Amino acid sequence: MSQKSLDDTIKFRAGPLKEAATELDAVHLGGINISELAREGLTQMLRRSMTDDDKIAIYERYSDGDLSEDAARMLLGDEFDVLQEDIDAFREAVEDDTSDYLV
Amino acid sequence: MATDDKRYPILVDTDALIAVGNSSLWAKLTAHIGLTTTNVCKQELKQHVENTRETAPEGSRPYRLHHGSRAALDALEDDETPLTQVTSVPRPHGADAGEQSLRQEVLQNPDAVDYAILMDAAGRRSIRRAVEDQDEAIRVVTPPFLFYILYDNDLISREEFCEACGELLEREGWTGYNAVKAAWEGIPIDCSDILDDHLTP
Repeated sequence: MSQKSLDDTIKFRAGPLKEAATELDAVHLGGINISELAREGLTQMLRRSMTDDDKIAIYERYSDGDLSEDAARMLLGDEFDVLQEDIDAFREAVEDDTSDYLV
Repeated sequence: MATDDKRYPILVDTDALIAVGNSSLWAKLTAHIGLTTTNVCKQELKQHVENTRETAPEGSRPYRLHHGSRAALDALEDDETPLTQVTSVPRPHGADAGEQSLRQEVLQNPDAVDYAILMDAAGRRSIRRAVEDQDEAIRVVTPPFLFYILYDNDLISREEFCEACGELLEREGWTGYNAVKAAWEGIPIDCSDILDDHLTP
């Protein structure tokens, strides 16, 4: 992830979440990294919120150069990497002489 | 132990058979390309036929499971059709037994397998890792590779290839998109002039 995108911030209405997080930070030995937990939590919830159509749209936006690889990978997780592997595997397979497999 | 049929170097799993069994290219695939699956995948196909109704609404998932599995089983039963099965020993059990049987086959008989074709992305990754760990030269690819073999040998037109990919895209959601995107990017091929806008992402 680039430094620029790491410095980007999201503001949201936290309600009692702010007091809860601050309290845990105070009582937990060594404190907690609220930003890190928020990033992890939001990543998980974004992934859980996605429909199949959302995933397709996101990968297409990435394919067209309209979405960064970091963002696409964050949303799609392992599925992003598996699709890259599948593309690479297909690319290698089309180099083969497929007439060998006809009966 | 049952006597194994002739082995072909393309190994296919249950869901890959169902996906291509429902496709408009099934008759051409089974006429021209030799495929092998496992007795465990055959059992999964039988279970799908038993657990779904022939009269399920056309296009629904139960309909696809029923008719795709039926098409694959009919081809397996027909000695004239080059779709054969090998017996998995030991026999894997559980929800992903079919995928496990392919992994086992790839590891036990690596010289007999050139391609493993699975519909499920996690299954492909798992078998790809197993192949890499054994340093074998087996390619793990998505089901449209079977359409590509027909296309590459002038047995179907680009239109037919694209339409079969479009069917997969329409039916199989993100799973189908993965399978088809890998083909379109890997070949590469442009189907945008053939498929409806809503099918070409």
